[in-house]
Amino acid sequence: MKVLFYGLTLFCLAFFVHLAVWRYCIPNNRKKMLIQIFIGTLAIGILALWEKIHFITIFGLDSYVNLPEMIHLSLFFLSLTITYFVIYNAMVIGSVTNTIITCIMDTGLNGLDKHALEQRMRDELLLRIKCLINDKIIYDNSGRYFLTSKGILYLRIVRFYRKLMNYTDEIG
Amino acid sequence: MSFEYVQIIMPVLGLILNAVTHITSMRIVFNLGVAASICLGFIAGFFSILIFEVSFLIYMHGSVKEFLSITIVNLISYSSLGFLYCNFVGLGISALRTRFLIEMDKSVGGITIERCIERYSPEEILARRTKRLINSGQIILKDGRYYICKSYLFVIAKIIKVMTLIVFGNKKVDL
Repeated sequence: MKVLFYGLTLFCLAFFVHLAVWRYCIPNNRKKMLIQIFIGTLAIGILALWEKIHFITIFGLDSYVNLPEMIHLSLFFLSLTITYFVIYNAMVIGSVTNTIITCIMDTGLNGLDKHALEQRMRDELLLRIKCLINDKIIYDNSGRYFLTSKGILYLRIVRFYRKLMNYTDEIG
Repeated sequence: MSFEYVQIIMPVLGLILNAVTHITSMRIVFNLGVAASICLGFIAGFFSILIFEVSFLIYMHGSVKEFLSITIVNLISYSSLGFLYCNFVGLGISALRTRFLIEMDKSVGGITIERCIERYSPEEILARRTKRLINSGQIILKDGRYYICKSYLFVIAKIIKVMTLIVFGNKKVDL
């Protein structure tokens, strides 16, 4: 019971801290800040629970957590956090399919013209290249783009997994 | 190993079973689509955890309250890991960024944006995606205009939109 309760409480706490910071002022290095908030909350939370603060009892639960519970709580919290990071990424730069759906959805009953959507795809393409540069997966050398070592590793993993799945269709 | 530690690694074991089932089904059952094989893998992992937890309750005579809370924790953790796995598989199937990286890798001496657009044009991107969306009944094309169907992608797009509004408010989101 403790793992479920403290895990969800800590995650909600970290989420609200992140929400408060973002609502006040969106930081420049958002990914780093997001990691700091979530991991910081987990670290402080675990430290508080580990220190055997026996006078804190919430809903009849003893605040003390033993080692297996602490590991379980951390894994539970981290799995929720990484999932949130993926959702956060989708909010900032969603998948192309999501962009298409959102664009059509916004036009309502009028529907969306094919050419307007093509122009949007061009913007999406440029946005993704910018994103790859920001993530240091590619680098720009006088208008020509090259893969970084991180990009090469990323591609190797993807190719290996495609081979494993026996998936031969073209990507995209 | 203490039983408590086995409980901790259950979501990870579920994920491994998920991946094995997914890969095996894709390699053996050739006409099974990617989405169907991912679903099959997810279900296999989910039920393996559920079966383990129920057997734990029966054979170890654990308390029902503890059984319920640990089962919820492990199923949420597993579902989160399953969601991540699904995203990871998607990177190698339909991610635009992966396609760019492949084009960059193929070209000797780097690639310009113009050349990249030439190799994978916005028209081609749109044609491929809309074909998939139309075939799966997510959108319809009528007189050169696209219309939305109220399907699961519509719901996901709505949820992301609401989440964006909650997190960013009316502030402009840029990279």
